[in-house]
Amino acid sequence: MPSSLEIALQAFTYRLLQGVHTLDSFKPRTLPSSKIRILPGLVAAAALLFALYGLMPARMAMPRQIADRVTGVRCAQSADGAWYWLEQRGGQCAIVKTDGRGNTVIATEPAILDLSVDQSQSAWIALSVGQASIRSCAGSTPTTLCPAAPTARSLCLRNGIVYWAEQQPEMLSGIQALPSIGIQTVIKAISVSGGSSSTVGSLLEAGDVKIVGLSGDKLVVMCTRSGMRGVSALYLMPTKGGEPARVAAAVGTQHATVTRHGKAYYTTAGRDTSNPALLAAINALNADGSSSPLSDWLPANGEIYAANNQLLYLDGSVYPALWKPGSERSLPEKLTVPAGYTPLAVGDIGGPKVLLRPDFAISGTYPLYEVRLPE
Amino acid sequence: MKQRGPSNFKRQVSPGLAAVMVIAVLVVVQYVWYVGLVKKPTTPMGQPKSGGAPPPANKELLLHGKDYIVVDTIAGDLDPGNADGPGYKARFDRPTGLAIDPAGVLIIADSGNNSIRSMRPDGVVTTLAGNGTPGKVDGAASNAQFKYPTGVCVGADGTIYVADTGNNAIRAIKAGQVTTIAVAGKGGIPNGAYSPVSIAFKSDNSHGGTLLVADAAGKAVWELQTGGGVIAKNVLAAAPTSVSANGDAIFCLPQAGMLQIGSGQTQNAYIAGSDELDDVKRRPRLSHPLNAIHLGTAVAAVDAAHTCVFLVKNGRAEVLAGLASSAGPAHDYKDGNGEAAFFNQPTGLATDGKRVIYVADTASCCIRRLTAPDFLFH
Repeated sequence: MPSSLEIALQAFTYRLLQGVHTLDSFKPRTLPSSKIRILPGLVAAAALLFALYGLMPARMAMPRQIADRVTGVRCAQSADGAWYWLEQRGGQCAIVKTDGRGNTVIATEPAILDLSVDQSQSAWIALSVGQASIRSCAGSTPTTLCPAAPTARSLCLRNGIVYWAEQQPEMLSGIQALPSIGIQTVIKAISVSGGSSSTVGSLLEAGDVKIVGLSGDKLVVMCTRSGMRGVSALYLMPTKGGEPARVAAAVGTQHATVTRHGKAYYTTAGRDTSNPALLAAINALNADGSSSPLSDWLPANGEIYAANNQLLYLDGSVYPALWKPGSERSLPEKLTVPAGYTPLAVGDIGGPKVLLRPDFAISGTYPLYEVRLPE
Repeated sequence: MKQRGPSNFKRQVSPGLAAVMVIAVLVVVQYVWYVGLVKKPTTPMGQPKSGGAPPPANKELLLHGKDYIVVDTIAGDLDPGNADGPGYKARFDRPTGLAIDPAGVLIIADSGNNSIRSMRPDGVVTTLAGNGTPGKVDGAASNAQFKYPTGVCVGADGTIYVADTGNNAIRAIKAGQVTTIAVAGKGGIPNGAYSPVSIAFKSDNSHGGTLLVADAAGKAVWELQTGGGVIAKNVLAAAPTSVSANGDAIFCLPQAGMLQIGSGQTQNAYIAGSDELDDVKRRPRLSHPLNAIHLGTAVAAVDAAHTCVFLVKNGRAEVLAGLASSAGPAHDYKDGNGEAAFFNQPTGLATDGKRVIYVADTASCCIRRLTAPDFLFH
């Protein structure tokens, strides 16, 4: 005869095997249905799959075609939910806009040196027979704001004002060695609806000047000095009077952007590498003019984009990749672009989107695609 | 059939010939090793070219002796900035004019930082005047404002005079105070074509010293009293970019390719060492002299068409440091000996009168130093 201890152990084992968790009684119970018994297992499996999904890199949706038979896209920007790009069409240069309802050619010029868009308005520097002019389109018809801006090279449209940079000739022709009597840059402004232009200020810079954007009431201006081992300098220039201040400078070509909230970011050579020319870092420009490091270890010669409060970096390699900058304690994250496409630009089209072209489109005509970035 | 074996082994080359070949190869290897690595290179005069050898006694070696000039950077770096401190920490933004005071302090017109800087003999850089913001404010040196200052000089009493180009003014720094002593539109100076780019102090008995101001826009050199009053205006053949007054005044007229030393003129001096070019027109020339100072009995000069420092004498220009080429300026930034050194854009010159020439390498945003043999100064 089994002892009472043996009987108790057998009963305990039986109940364990039946999934009964209480030991309060030896009374036999009705077992739950098989569907209920496998429920904990299903929940655990779902949690495991969810965790694995979270660990996988975010994937983009499939690209959506937005234009067909495009030739030679030079630069692309976004504003007011639409893409704008410069397109080389034979001997002409066209500004094309697409907003999901179709493509519109805003203007066609013999050559366009720079384009800036803001709030469904656009402004550009048109070049014709050696004469540059400032033109804009605030409605349906392009207008000429400044017919003669022979040395205009960069412009920026913000809040209905067009700012552009012109070079003033050197005092002694052909002799530029003394900066104070050499070529200088003057920033001018005009309303996008027309009127007379005014001078915002001047810079002791003779190289490539790029007006990046507006940070508060100050223009962010990036100047790349010419010459061997060129230097880039970042200036803040007050738009309502006052002298410009150089807030950052470094060896090499840099790129900068300003978010729609007025925060400026700029690239510089990687600080934490043995070969700074190969890697880039991103710094944030603080309101007081100081800089804070944001991210390092990015491939060099890229461009920063700000879209929907996201900062993204498109590197300058032959097949550029898109990066999400890291922080001081983390490496940047390479975003996966759909296979077979090359990113051209990042824009804010109801959220961050990437403008793509097919990889095989080295020359000739090709379609353009856009794809939403994972949030 | 005859079997092949040791007994009928036949050598491909005779042992004697093989030994000769091996010895010949060894001799060639030894010779290359000796010439390439052991033998000291010599100049045409038979002196070793470098390696701590004594300076040449014969001044003719100037033609070939550039390796004796040592170029190094004493303050600043390629990246522009505005920082004081020891030379390696200090930062400038396109320094141009240089001067040396009697105590050996180097005065620097820091154009891009709109300030006047100084460098003590121990290498520490400080800001003498200017708060960095372009403008025109007199008063306490730390709050004063300049706009693109280009030229500086030191008066007999230690006053520092500044050619404040962006303000078309001559400013003075004395006892920590900045004052404007001459400005366009006042005291006989025209309001239009006037752009001071260089300034020099000339000692004389009649006025307690005279200031010579190179006016690029007016194509003239103004003689001013130290208080600012106009003494005379001397119209030149072209726009001057520098004036020097330690001895006969030197004016650089780059548009005319001319160095005017006192009453004499040196125009389009060809660069020594280019004599071998058959076509005289192809010889690189000192075609756009920007700045020049007396260096003993000769003149040290920099040129906008060549990124190097020259020694000009008797109508010929010797390359002291840098690379002169008929193909145009060779911009770069590299320290080293003589022609191994590179400059980006040398503009300002000063000398301690002993063995050192200071060069403001404007585009490199730094101050370079040329240490030369003594004979250059005699």
